[in-house]
Amino acid sequence: MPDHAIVIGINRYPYLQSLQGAVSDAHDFHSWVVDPNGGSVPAGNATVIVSTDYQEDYRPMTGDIDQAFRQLVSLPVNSNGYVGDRLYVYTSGHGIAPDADDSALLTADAATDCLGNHVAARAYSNTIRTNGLFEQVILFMDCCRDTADDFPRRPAPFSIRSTGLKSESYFGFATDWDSKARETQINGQTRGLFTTALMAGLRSGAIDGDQLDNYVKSYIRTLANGNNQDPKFFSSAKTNFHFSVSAPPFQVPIELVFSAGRFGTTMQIYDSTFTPIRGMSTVASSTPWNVQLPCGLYGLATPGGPPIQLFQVVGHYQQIIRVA
Amino acid sequence: MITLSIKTDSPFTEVEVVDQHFRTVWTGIGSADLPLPIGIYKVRLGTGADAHEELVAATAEMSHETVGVSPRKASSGKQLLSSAAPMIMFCSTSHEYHHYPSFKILNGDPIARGSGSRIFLFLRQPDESKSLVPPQGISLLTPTGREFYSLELGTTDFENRYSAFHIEVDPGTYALSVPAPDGGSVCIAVPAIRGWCTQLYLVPYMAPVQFESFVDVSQISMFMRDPSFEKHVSEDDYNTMFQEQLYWLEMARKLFARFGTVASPETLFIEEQLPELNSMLQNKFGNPMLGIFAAHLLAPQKLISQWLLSEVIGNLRGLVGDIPDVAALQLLNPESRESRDVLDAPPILKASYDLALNKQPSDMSSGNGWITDVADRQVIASPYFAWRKIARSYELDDAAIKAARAIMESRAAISVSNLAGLLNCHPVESWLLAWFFDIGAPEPFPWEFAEQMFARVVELSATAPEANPYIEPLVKESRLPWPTLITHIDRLRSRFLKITHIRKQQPSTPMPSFPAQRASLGHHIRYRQA
Repeated sequence: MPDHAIVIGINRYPYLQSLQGAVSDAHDFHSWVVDPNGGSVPAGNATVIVSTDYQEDYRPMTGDIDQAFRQLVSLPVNSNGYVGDRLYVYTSGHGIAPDADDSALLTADAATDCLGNHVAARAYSNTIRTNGLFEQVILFMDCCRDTADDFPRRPAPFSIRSTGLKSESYFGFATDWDSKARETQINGQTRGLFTTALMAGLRSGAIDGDQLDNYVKSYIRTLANGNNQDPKFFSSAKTNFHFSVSAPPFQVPIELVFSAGRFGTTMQIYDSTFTPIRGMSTVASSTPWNVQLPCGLYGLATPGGPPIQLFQVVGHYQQIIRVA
Repeated sequence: MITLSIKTDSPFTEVEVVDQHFRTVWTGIGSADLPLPIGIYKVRLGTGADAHEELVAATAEMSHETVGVSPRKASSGKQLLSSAAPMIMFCSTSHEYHHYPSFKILNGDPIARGSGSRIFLFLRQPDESKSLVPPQGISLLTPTGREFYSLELGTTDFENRYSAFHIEVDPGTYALSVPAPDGGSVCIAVPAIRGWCTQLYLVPYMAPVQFESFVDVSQISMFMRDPSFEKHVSEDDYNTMFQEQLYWLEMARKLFARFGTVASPETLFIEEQLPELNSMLQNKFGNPMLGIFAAHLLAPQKLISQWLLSEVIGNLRGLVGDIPDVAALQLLNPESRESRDVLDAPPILKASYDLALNKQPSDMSSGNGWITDVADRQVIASPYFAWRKIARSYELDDAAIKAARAIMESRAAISVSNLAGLLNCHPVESWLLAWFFDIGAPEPFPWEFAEQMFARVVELSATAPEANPYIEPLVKESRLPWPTLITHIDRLRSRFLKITHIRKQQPSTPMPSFPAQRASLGHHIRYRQA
C-alpha cells in the first residue's frame, strides 16, 4: 500500500527571529522520502508545505497545515483496513515543548506573545496512530523544545474514525526537553544539525530505528562541536522500523593524518571484530592517507599489534582523523 | 566473551552501549558488568545535561580483564557536577572563597523575623570572569504573596561575588521569588520547619537576549540541616563533611530536572544501585531532602517494601512533619491513605504534586487554597513545583467585546485559537476552549451555545463529584485541580455572557443534552452549532 508524507519547513517568522535552514532541511527530507532508495513514498503522496511557497510572510499558519492533515485523515482505507502502510511527518522550524514528552512546531504567524499558533505534531501523529490509520507513523521534528508556560495548547483539531487496527510509532526530536535545536554552516549552506545527522543516517544504507537513533546521536555530537544538543527518539519497538532498505552502504571519505612518530610504520585498519580489512593498510608518512569506509567503529594498529587508535565513521562529509 | 565493566560512581548516570553497527547492546542506569563478544563498542554516559562518550576495545587479550569507563571525575573519584550547592569536592565551580563566607554566615546568629525555624539563602557568581550583578527581586514571600524578606537586605560582597541572608522565621510554607527574563517572577515553595534550617543555594545565569543576570529555579539546590551543625564543626571540616550527601542530593535533583516525575521506564534502577539509594534514605536524618528524593525514586518502582516505605515516611513525618511532599508520599502507602487535602500548600517537588494528582485526583476536586491559586501558573521545566508570581491581566475590554459581537452577528468564521486571542483568554481558558470546541479549520462559532454550556458545567460543579462527568477527563488531561478549572470555566461563561447578553432578550438556541458517552470516551467531543 502506498505510503504518505507531510513535510513542513518554515524559515520566515515575521514576529520571531527568522531561520535560514529549515526550508532546505524540508526539501532535503522530501527528496529522500520520495527517493526509491529512500522512503519510497510516491511523489503524489508527499505534501510539502514550506514558507517560501507563500507570498504572505505570516504563512504557513495552523490552518494551512491542518488542511493537509485533514485531507490525509479523510482518505479512504485500503483492503487491509489502513489508509497506508507508513506515514512520515517531518517538521522544521521554531518549536516549543509543552511537556517533557511533547514537541510542537511554531507556525509562521507565531509571536512570543502568541505561541498558540503552533502545530502539536506529536499530538497530531499520536491521534493518527491511536486511531490506526497507518501501520507505522514516523515523525521527525527539527525544532527547539523550549518550554513556555504561558501559552494556549492546541490539541489535534481533526476527528478520525478509528480503524481499530494496531499502529506503531517512531518519533525523533532534535533535542532534549527544554533545550535548543541548532543550525550550522555545512559546506556553505545553513542546515539544521538534527536534519543533517538524520539525513546522513537515512542515506548511510539500510538502517533500522535503533541504529538511526544511535547514528544521529553520534553524528550530532560531532557536528554540535561542544554545544549541547541531545536528540530524543521514542518508539515502542525501534527495531521494527527499517529505512532505506534497498540503499547501498554509503562510503564516507576519511583522511588519516599521522604524527611524525608514526612515519615509516605500517598501519592497518581493522573492523570492529579486529579483523584486518583487505586493502586498508599503508606505510605512514607525512602524506595523509585517504580511504573510504562505511559508517561504523574501527581500529587502527600495526599488523598483529594491539589497537593504537579507535575511531568512529559517521556522516557524509570528509572526516579527518589524526593519529597520535 | 569479555567483560565490559562500566563504572559510573552514581546510580543516576544513564548508560548506553552501542556496537559497531550502531545497535544498542545494553542500556541501563549505573554501574554494570556486561559480558560481550570481542569488538569495539561505544559507551555513552549521561547525567542531567552532562554527557560523555568513549570508544572502547574489548580484545581477545582482555578475556579475563575488565574495561573501565567512567565520566570526568574529581580527585575523590566522584563524577564532577555543575551545582549551586556547596560541594567543594565534587563541583567544578565551587570555590573556597564562597564556602567560608557561607559557613560564617550560617554559624552566626540569624536575623529574627519570627522564631522556631530558619531559612538561609546564598547566591554566588562562580564565574571569575563575571561580576556579581546586584541582587534585585530575589525575595521570600508569605503564603499570601506579600514580600517577607529580600536578599537586598542581606550581606553582599561584590569582590568575592556572593550575597546571602540567614533569618529565623515562624514555621510554615514560604515562597522564594526570583526574577524571570520576561519581566515577571518565578516562585518555588520553601518550607520553614521547626528545628531545621532550610538552605537554598543559587547561581545566576545570563539570559541570552537581555544580557541580564537571572536565577534558573531548576538549578537551585535546596535542603534542610540541623542549625546547630555549623556550630559544631571547624571551617575545614565544614568543606568535607556531608559532601557525599550533597552529591547524592544534587544527582537526584538533576535526574528530576531531566525527567520531571521519575516514573518512566527509562529511569528504572537495578538492584546493584540500591545500597546508594538506601544510603540516601539513611542519611535523611541529617538532611530530610535526601529522604524525600529517595522515597520518590524508590517507591513507585517498588524497590523497597511497603513496610520500609511506611517506616521511611513515618521517619520523615517525625523529622519535618506533614509538609506537602511527605503527605504526598504517604499516598504511596495504600494502608494509610490521607483523608485530608495533601496539598494544602505548594510542595517542594513537582513529583509530589504529580503524585497527589495521580493517586488522589478526588482531592483535586475540592478547594484547597494556595495550590488552587497557583496551579494554573505552573512553570513546567523544573524539578521543583514552580509557578509564576504575577500573571498578566486577562480582562476582556470593550473593544474586544465589540469585535466579538461583530463576528457573532455576521456569523463570520473564526478559529478557536484566534477566538482565544480575541477574548484575551488565560492559557487554561484557551485550552478549555480547544477541548470543548476546536474543530480545526475556522467555522462560525456557537456563541450562545458556548455560554450555555459553560454555565451548565458550572452548575454541575455544585453536584457531587461522581455526578459530574467533566471532572475526571478534564483533571486528567489538563493536570490541574478541578477548582482551578471551574474558575476558568466560569470566567469563560462570563466572557461569553458579556458578548451574547444583548441577544438574551430573544429566545435562545435550544440546549442540546450532553452526550452520555463523553466521560467514557475520555477525550474530546467537539460541539458544533447545527
